Amino acid sequence: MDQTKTSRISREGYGYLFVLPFFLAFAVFWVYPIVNTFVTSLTNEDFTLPDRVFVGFQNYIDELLRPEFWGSLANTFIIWIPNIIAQLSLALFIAVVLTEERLKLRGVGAFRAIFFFPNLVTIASLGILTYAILDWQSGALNQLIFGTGEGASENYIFWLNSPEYSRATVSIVQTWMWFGYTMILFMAGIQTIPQSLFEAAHIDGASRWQNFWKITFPLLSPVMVYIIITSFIGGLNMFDFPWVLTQGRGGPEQSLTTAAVYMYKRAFQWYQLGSGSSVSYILFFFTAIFSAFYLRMTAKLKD
Amino acid sequence: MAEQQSVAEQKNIIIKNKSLVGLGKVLLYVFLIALVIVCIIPFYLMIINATRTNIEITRGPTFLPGSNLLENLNAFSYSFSSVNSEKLNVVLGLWNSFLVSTAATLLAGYCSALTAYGFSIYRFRGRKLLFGLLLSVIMLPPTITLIGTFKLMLSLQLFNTRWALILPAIASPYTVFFLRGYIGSAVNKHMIEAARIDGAGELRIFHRIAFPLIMPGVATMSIFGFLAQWNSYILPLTLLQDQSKYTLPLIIQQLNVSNYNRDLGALYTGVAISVVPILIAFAIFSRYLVAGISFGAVKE
Repeated sequence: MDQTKTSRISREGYGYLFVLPFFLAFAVFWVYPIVNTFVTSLTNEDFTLPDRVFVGFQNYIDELLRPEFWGSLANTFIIWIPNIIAQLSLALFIAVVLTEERLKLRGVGAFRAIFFFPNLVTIASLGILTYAILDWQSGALNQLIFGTGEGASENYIFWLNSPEYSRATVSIVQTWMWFGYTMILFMAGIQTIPQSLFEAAHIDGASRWQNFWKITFPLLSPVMVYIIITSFIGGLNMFDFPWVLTQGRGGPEQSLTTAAVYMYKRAFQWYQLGSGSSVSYILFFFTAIFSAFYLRMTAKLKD
Repeated sequence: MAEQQSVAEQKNIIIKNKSLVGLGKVLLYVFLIALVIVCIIPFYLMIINATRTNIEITRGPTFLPGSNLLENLNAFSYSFSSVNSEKLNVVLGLWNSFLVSTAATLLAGYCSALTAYGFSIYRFRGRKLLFGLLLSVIMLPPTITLIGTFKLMLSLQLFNTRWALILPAIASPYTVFFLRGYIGSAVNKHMIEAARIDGAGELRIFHRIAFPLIMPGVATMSIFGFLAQWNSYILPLTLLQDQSKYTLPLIIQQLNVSNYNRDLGALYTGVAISVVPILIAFAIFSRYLVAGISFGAVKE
């Protein structure tokens, strides 16, 4: 009796053995960098300086007073907000249409897969592709809009030389990359809604429009919360595309220096690791505040 | 008489509605197909332009392939060892990406299965706390570990080695989270009990009985993991220094800063070389990818 009990306990102890490799790596590759970035953010660490000195929250104060920091944040939101609105509406519309039983559209699987494809392509490659298509002299976009005849090139627009067009480009490409992914999330969400709800509504004479606003939309709110929060995090960390598109320069008038690009520049172009670390922590706080606020708001709306 | 009329009217309305629905459906198809074109056309243009000369490309887009593909391919170097400063070495980039992605995916798959199994089969003390810790980093913004990881790799002397990109895969929290859910439905605890009574050791049970059952889940996550690693840009950019170790995205990124800028045929060819493996992966795995994403939506 006693023996079986101890062997049982020691057997449960095997659990530690199974999770040990993970948590060793977790301590080294997750916990250490997270803590280290924070410690670094409290110092003036700089590749060009021999020693580092503890400076408390000075880096944070400096960053919060820097117009360049706020500029990069503004760029991020000017790019992110139109993208998330377009992406959500497009994805939701297609998801509803493709899952609508009464419409019986064909090729749902193929549409779903093709819309998702842009999401899989290496962003660095997309950056170069976009760069080539938008090239003002030989890019396909100008050629398609203004033609290639004699004198047509006088009208050609230097897309990537304008802050507005550059930001719009990134916003559009982000939407193009992510609407399919978001659509899949919505479709999965819609498929968890019991069909009987729609049938009951149908008997009560509800229109499709009412169905959408009274049933589909409210029941999709957990998926919506998930998408908006992860997209917000993704937005604040948007780096690859603007970086490659502008060859690491940040675009005309720094219009494509997003928050993540700004952080990277601070740390790895200007070698101010301390300052760069404080930027990444400030971004983390923004994310946490946004997520908490958003979760609270949606919880309140539900009541 | 009046009744008949109303029946006829109703029929009329139904027919009207039907044709309206029909029209709506046609419009919907037009819209969806337009979107399909928008999703595909950049890649089509890319592949077509990869077969054309620089002069042809400056003359305007077309939908018919040219005959300059071999010439364009010639703008790149294909040796496994040497780094030619004149030509970008795409094969080396493909090889490096393949090495790093495969090693990281295998490590992540095995270690995550081990961890997820540990969490779902054993009732050890503190497991809830540990699992909570694991979950807490899933939603962390990736930039928060960047500078710390850079400094860590410097001090471990892993900076500028492929290991810096491979080893962190041992701790892949999201994969563990996914697999723990998967094990709950795929592994029958009675089978494990039976194997214990037969005297099999715990690790042996995991390898012989549980792992094959978890394998489909591991495969799904591996597709995602491989693609994420293959597409990863900021980490290799920060952690690698030698051209000879560059993964494909780092090689491709140089296309618009080097001579390729002036040879558009070669530039498109370079991008195409990087996209074609993804196209193939997509053709084979898209169903699993869609299923994997859907799982995430419903679980969280």
